[in-house]
Amino acid sequence: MTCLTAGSISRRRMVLGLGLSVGMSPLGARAGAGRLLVLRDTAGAEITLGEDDFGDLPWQELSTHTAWTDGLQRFAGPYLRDVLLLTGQTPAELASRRLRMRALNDFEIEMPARDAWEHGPILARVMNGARMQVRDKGPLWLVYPRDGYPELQDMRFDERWIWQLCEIDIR
Amino acid sequence: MARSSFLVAGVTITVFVAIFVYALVELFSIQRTLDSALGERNLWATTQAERELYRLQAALATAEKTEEGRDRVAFQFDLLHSRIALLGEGPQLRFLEEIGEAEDIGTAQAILARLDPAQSLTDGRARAGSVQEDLTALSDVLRRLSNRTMLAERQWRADYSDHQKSAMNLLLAAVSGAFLTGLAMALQLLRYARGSDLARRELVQHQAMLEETIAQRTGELETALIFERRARDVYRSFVVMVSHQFRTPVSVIHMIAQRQLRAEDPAAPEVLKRKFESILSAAERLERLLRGILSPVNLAEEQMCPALRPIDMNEVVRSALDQTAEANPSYRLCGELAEEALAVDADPVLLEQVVLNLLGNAVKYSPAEAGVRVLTRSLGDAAELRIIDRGVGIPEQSHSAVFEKFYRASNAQMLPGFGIGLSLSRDIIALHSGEISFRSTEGVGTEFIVTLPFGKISQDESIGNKCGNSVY
Repeated sequence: MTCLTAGSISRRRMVLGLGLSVGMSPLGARAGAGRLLVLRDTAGAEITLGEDDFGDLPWQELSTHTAWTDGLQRFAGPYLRDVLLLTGQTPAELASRRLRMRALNDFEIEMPARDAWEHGPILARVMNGARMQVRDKGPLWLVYPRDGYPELQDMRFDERWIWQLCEIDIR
Repeated sequence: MARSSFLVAGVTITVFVAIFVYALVELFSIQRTLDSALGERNLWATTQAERELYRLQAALATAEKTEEGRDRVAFQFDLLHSRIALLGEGPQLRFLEEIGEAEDIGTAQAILARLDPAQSLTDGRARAGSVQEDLTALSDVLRRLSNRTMLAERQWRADYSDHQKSAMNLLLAAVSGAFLTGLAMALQLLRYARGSDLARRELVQHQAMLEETIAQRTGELETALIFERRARDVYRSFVVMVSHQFRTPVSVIHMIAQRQLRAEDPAAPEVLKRKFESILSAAERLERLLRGILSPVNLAEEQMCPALRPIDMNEVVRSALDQTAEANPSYRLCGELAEEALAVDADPVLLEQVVLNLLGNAVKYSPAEAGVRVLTRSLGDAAELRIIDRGVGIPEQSHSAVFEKFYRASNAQMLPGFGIGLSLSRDIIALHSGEISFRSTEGVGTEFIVTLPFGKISQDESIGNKCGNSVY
């Protein structure tokens, strides 16, 4: 059963509770020290988001089943749309765009940016109360509220659940 | 026939619906399986694990040269770790269990634990033989997993393709059957519609014919009615004429006979007196007969109501017998009347007309020596009169028509008569709530039977007709 809180949770507490261990983690090899995500807008300008930047965004909790795991999983992280809005572009401007999303292993997918508003996926940083590491599916996993919407229980949407996400190109 | 058709149609529809439902269930099952199946995801996951292993090996080649190189090794190891972890959990693990490769993933995880960079990869022993052996073993495991996964998924796709084809064939059969059934039903419906239309047209045609027939029959009836009325007019005119022509001379004869009898002429011989008495009696009978002849006129005019009163039917029969015997002295009339009184409610004049008519017929159509028997008796609740002759009889073909007005049987044409008497008798008996019937054999004789219900009117209730317009 999908459980998406309406309001944000205490992101600061969440971040502090998790503690910081980015430092020279393997993630650093791709995104640089302290970096979680590189966001590139349509003009090519890059925004690098670190743990603190994520902590400043409103977080959501989302409980859902996934195509790769058994049982109900609890995720937490900011809405994708909130992250996209950090580029300074409006929802109307972003609606017609596509997002090229890239994982740490260079795996890429493309998806319509309007998904961020139509289906409300989150960029999960925490899974089942633990911050995701590269060894599982961290640092970020794009998670859709799959259980609550039958149309999301489709292979085409499953393909958009990119994990080990490190870059988003708005195109 | 129609019931068996309905049964066949019902069974056919049920079978096709069952096939259709079964096929839908199968398709739904396939769809669910496809939705939940990992499909080529497993192959992708295993090949990705292989890829990360190769990239780790590439990173290891430069691991000792720079710090960045060591970081890269650690990073690549984490990626490989994540891929192996993915294979070892959830649906991916169940798939490997299904194809019998769960042990391999356990082996891979064990090798991975030994290769953990914190213990071996980055501590200068990367090139050690054991590490290379582990990497080679891991490569072999992943290669085997990829291979088996590819084959299993290929088989899975083939199986599901067959399953899908089977379900599609079922669905196709069901749809085709439903189509054919629908077509058959549509044709049947069309046939019924055409039949209905044809029946409707025939009905309209029949209706038109019926109306035409009714119009024709109505015309015929109207014509017959006109003839009937004309005949009745002729008859009435005839009777009126007879009445006027005969009553006066009969009255004159009656009057003269009376005068002669009343005149106290001693010179008149006794034999003459007897003859005048005979003339007087005959004149009185003639007057009664004239009244009788007038009766049909009144009946035809439907103006007559019988003046019912309690009488003894025997008395009426006896009177009629006397009159007939007097008029036909050469005939042998044998009256066998009931000893007890047969009390009926009747108009004596009309009832006498009936008996006279029946006796007249018996005498008229019988040879004198044959004799006529007249019997009366009680039937318990009715009085019965039977008049039996041994005359010419009534032909079989005339039996149904003898009571019709103006009808005369083929063997009665040579004898005088109008064909009125029996019709009149039937009407009179009907007015008395009685019945009249006959049985006759041509050449043997005829028997007429009259039954009248016993009377219910007491002597005190009077006499007289209830219509108040009797002509009598």
